[in-house]
Amino acid sequence: MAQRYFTEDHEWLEVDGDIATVGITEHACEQLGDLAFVELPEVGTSASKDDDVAVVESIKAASDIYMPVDGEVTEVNAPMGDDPTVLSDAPEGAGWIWRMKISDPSQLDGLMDADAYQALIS
Amino acid sequence: MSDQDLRKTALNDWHRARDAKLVGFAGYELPVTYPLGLRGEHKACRKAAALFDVSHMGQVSVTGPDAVAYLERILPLNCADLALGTQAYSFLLNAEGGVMDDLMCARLEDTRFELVVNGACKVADMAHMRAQAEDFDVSLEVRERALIALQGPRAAEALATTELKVATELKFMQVCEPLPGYAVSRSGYTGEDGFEIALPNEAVAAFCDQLCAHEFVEPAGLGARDSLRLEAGLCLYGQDLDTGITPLDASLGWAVPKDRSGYIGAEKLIQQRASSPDYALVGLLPEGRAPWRAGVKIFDADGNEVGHVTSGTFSPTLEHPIALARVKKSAAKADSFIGELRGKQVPCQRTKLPFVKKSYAK
Repeated sequence: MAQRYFTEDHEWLEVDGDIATVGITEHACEQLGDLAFVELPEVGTSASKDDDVAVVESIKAASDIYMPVDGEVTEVNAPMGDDPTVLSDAPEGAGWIWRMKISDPSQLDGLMDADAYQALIS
Repeated sequence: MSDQDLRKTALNDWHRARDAKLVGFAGYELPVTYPLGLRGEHKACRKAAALFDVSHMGQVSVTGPDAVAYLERILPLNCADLALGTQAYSFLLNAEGGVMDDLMCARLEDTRFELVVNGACKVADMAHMRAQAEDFDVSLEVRERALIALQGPRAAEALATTELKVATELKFMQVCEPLPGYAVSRSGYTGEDGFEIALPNEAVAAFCDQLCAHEFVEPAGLGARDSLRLEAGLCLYGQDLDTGITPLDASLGWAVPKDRSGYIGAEKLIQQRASSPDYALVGLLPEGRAPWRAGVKIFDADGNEVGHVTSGTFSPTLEHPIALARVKKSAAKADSFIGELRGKQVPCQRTKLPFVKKSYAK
């Protein structure tokens, strides 16, 4: 059954087996304001937790998006590359940024659940 | 700098009441955006009218028998010939011709001028101006009052419903003082028609309420101010202008009279006019959608590094990235360049400024 985790960098992951779907939270999206551009990671990229692999640009500034756990990017939300509203319309749903294969599931233990993340942003 | 150290303008409560997102800028707490958002505020300015709190900027009056001689010492501007009721764009320069600040200088009386300088520079500017004033019979007075900018094709329509209606007769770059303590110029930093209005701190909140009562007037913050001015090809001090360059290096020679000398920094400017400036400011249209931010390195077609981006954003009007770059004068005529963006090489086209056509009042 899919389980959702959150990071201190305001990213979420929904984990199903060893595949995670990753995006940024509503809160992060609100903070960024109007989006201009999303630079998606390359499919096949292997990276470690906290490596920056994507960029979300608002009109004003760029925000790095990090690997929440070690793994390999298996799929990206391609339409978002041309149309950032795919992200901003539903950042925690259809606005997912990439999917990845998790190489070390034990790293999930260090992440927050929904309640802990709510407490963080309150 | 903690929030407690930030100064507040007279509109601070007004911004909070409208749910502005406040940030520290030039030592003041100012709105970066309101709930409408950067894109909506930007578009409101281009389509109708936007209202900005720019009270952080410095307002200085220069009065006295030597006002013209003094200003002609510290500015390259021809102040003697500046007509009553007009203002001009100019610069404070250091001895090497480097830009200390850019500013507007308005002549309200034969021997009274009003200057508006950048908020982040106003303390240093005043120190410089006071030191230079010692040799002249002038007095300098900081005007402690609010400053707002009403910008857009319907700005005049909104202003005409207020007690400052007479200011709607101003032409571009004209100035008037319609009421005691008030000054209005037909100018701005957006490329649109509009007004910059100086008024008493006690009056500004009510005046802004009056303007925003029109459904077509939107409060707008620093975020939209930056994307608007960039589309208009206007320089921002601290990014496109700094003490390391002269106005000619920023392709602003139109604001430096050819027939003047004797001002601080004149030697360098005269020498550059005789030979060549070191740099030029160019407009870039990057390929793709990724914005190019300040610091992106610029290369020519042969791979030589020729400059860097000084300002860049994603243009809401063009739906495309735009950037200003400082490049070596010798390389500045190329039709295209390459930018280095996060390790990748991305091409761009050079384009004439402004990116978006200006619509000043005739």
